[in-house]
Amino acid sequence: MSLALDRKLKIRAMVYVAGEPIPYFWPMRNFIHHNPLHGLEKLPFAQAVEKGQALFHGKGFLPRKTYQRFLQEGKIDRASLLSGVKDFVATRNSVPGVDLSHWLMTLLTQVAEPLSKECFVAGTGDVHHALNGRVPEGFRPVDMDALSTWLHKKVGVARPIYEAVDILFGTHIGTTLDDLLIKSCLDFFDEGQSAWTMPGRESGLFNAWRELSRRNVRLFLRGVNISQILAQSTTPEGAIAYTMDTLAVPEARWADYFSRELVHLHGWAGFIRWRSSAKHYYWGQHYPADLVDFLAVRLALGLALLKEEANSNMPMSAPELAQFIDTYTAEAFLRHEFYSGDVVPQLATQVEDAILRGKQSNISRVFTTYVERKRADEAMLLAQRLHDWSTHASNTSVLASLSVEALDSLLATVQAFEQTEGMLWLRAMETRAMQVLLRDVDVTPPAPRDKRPFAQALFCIDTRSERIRRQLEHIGDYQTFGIAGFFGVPIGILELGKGSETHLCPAVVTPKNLVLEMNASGPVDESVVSVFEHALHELKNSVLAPFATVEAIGLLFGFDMIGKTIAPLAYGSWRRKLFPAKQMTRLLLDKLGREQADSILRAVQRAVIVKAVEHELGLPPERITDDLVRQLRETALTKEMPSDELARQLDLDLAACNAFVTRLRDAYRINRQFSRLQFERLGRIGFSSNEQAHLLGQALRSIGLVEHFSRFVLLVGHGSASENNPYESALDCGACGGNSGIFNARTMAQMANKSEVRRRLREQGLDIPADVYFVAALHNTTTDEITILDRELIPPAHLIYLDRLHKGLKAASRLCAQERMATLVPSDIGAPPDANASSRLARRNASDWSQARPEWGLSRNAYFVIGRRQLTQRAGLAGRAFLNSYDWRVDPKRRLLESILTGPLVVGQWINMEHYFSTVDNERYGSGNKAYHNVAGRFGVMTGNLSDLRTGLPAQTVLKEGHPYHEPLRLITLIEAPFEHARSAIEGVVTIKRLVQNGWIRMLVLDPETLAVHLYDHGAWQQWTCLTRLFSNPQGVIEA
Amino acid sequence: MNNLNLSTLKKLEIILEGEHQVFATDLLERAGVTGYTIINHLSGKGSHGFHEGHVMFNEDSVLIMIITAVSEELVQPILEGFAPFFSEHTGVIFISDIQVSRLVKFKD
Repeated sequence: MSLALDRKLKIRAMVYVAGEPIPYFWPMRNFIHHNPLHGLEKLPFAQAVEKGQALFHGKGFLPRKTYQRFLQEGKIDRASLLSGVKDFVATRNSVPGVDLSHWLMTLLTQVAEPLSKECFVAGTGDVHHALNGRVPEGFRPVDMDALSTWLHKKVGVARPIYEAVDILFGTHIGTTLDDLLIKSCLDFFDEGQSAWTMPGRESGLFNAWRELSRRNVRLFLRGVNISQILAQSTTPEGAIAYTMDTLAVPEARWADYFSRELVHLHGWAGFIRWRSSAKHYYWGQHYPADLVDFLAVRLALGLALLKEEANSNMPMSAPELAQFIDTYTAEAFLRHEFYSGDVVPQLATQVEDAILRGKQSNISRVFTTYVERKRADEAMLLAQRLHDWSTHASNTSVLASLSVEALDSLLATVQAFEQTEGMLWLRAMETRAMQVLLRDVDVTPPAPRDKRPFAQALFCIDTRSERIRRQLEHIGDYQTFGIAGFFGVPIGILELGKGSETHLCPAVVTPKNLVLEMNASGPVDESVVSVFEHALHELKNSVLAPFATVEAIGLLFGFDMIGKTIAPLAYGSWRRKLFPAKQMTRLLLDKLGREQADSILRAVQRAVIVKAVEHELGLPPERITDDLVRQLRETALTKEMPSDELARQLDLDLAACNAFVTRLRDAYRINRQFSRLQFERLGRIGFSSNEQAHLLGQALRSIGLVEHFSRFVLLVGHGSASENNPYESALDCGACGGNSGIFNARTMAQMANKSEVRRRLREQGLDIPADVYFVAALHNTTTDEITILDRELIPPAHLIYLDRLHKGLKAASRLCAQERMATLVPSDIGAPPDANASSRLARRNASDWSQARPEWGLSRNAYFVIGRRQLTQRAGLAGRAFLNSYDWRVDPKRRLLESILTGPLVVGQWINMEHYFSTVDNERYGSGNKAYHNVAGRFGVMTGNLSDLRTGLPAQTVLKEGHPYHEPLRLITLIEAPFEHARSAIEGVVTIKRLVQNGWIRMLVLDPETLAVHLYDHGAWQQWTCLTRLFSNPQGVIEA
Repeated sequence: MNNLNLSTLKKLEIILEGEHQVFATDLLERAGVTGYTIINHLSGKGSHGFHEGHVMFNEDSVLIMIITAVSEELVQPILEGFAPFFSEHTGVIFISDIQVSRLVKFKD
């Protein structure tokens, strides 16, 4: 069956749209923090959480008990909670004798479990009876139409057909389907972990799977007749259309149906989504797969399994399912009760018996008994809970006196309230966090300095920089700045010893420029080279030595060898074992001149031709003259026939010579088109001086560092070090795409120390004095050590100060470790370790194979401050704040602020939301306990040996001793700038405007001119009243 | 000019958010489109307010335009294909009549 083009394209678009709620899952060696509900960000936060619950079955808020604990610990503002309750009450009808605000506040703060549970059978009248100590009234007929509508909603529309069958007939199609699909995915997506590889992967997921499944004896033996389905279509779109037509699902429901199928294994689906969008991804290029393939496999398998289970009674399509519910409503209800596990325990045997016998008269009798019992149970339970609640509210007598109508109103209010309760807690918790931040903010203008600081240091905005910056400033004359850890230079790096390019910038950017890491300490270890083709080896040693590493040749010149050198050995710890001591290296970051590029290209082509002549024609080296090579090259590049003379020199007749030249063009790719491509690739190397000056200038202006430069300006990237930790990359720099920031720091330093770059900047009015030296450094966030890089390049005149710098950095490291270790050791340990013990402990964490939590990473992140350092310098923010330096006075057009908002702030928001959801529901949105994780296919982890790919953060990152260590809040962002300036920037960028208006970020603007703080809340900007009090109070104490 | 042999084609100008670029180009390629031009960082105003084109560090949220030329019979399937996407997303497709001199550039 072949599908018309329009239908085919339409199905693809439907699958694309259906997959959008599923977040990307990046391979874990470049862990990218993301919002699990990123696909729903176009909705307001509360609605998105609700939709997330429906789709992913994930909770959006902490359990009430946990919030109550936070309230006791002072982490939640009671006044804000009460005001939220009052706002809610204002929208409801009053209930006589019940002080709703008081009652609901009691419910929130003193009753541990939510009160309202869906009461399906019992009506308010039944509850009223129960409250008054009476048994429910006798038999009351059930409204079968309402029941059937409920069943349609619960079973019919909201689930794929096989899942409805599972819930009505107790089959396990869903589980089997997931298992089979995961196995197929593990086979197809393997990146070198398994010894056996799936055949035909080049043809794509669906095709490879289709070929294999048609011959799959295992499936055949199980009685699953997949080949019959596969015979219907050769394309994934065709298989989807065939399945959906067979299931007779109306086309209007397809996209929704697809979403519900895809979320079942949302980790795999997210990985496939990311993979098909990542054009540069080696494995994706070679073994293509997309969501359409994945869905086609799932649907076809699902249909086959459904058919396998078929019996006379069982619905096999959407209309049959609807008909079953309408015709056998009582049976469908009993089946749903029994197989969903909601059955009243005392009647379970009777219900099971009736279902199995299938006699309608019997079913009808059991149904009546069952419904009556359920009604009584529901009423009693709810009455008991209401009673307990009234005891807490110190008003037990009022319940009995309520009329049925009043009770009905109360129950409706409670139900509505408990649905919105999560937002009340969250907002009250955020209010407290905002108070804490603003309490310690320092708005006094900095005193003018008479001399420049000893050193300035640019740290990443990462929350872990806050501690060490504070400590460094504390111990000496250091001035620090916060800037996104890629220093505003998006680069692709071709690292020594690696054949693939790594993107070192936020995941929302694709770098245009490539930087090569060059060996500066002599030849590369020959044993590493020996695996490559001999020709390439020779190229490296002869022609390209000054320009490129052997890996670069592969990447730049398109020789298909990336796969051999790519290090799917992945996780950093393994890699370090392979390349134990890294050589001294330099970065090639200047743009090649046209002539340089031309000459490299020519040299490569010449070398390839020489090899081709030797290999194909067996000519000895002395006969392969320069002139011969030149002629061959020119002939190959033009479309001309070879000359007789050329043929003679090669000992060939004209036809054979022509065949050889054709071979040079086709097999050795000495042709114009390919040359142009290679030339383009060479053009990606490095930055022009102008670009370098522009990037440096922009970075310095964006943080407000435009004068009073110190002798040393440190550019501190950060990375983590841990062993046996698939999540290591999650601890690296998010602004560098989940990599260490080391190359970005080195790149920026190298650029900034160039006199040509400084000259250009001076012309633009940014004068960096000649004695200023930019030093690249690395902050190891696991050990807190700061290492100075490329030390050998430091000018002699600066060396005399180096010792002082070292000592300063070391002292700050020790103090930072001490501060941090106190949070990592068990809470019952007594006195926290001192600086010595802390440093030791931190180093041990970095190398301990059994350490499940080497550091807390970005856990407890809460704030994002865009402003001068002085603002928060005195506030001990305990590593909870992203700090992005910004001085609005150097940014009249707001371009720099907009850049900060769209880049670093968005990265911060992803990190924040990843932590939020991993904390509120660690099993669904997080990845559960790390101890049970197994690495899957070298790009992800599974729980046990077969599960969905686990996305999000493990329990060890966000929980401590079973309780949330991370406090889930939406990112509280504070911009220091005149209100109109900030507002225009926020509203000028659609992405940010949407995040703020939909409540994914809590946005505060502190106007340095009026000292007013504005908050975006309830759909509008408002001046936050607390602040007037704050600034009139010199101690900055806020009344809680 | 008299020597020019002009052929009639349809020009599609598809404007959408940068994060959907791969989806859109993939769909075009599957429809048999052999080439296209992409313009990044568009500025402009639409139902979602003003879009700034200069933003530096977030390519996903900028607007892009994909320009391509196709034969008339491809227009309907492409529009049909994009329909489910544009019912959920911001963006437009402009279709216009154009003439090209080297038809071979637009064929497989």
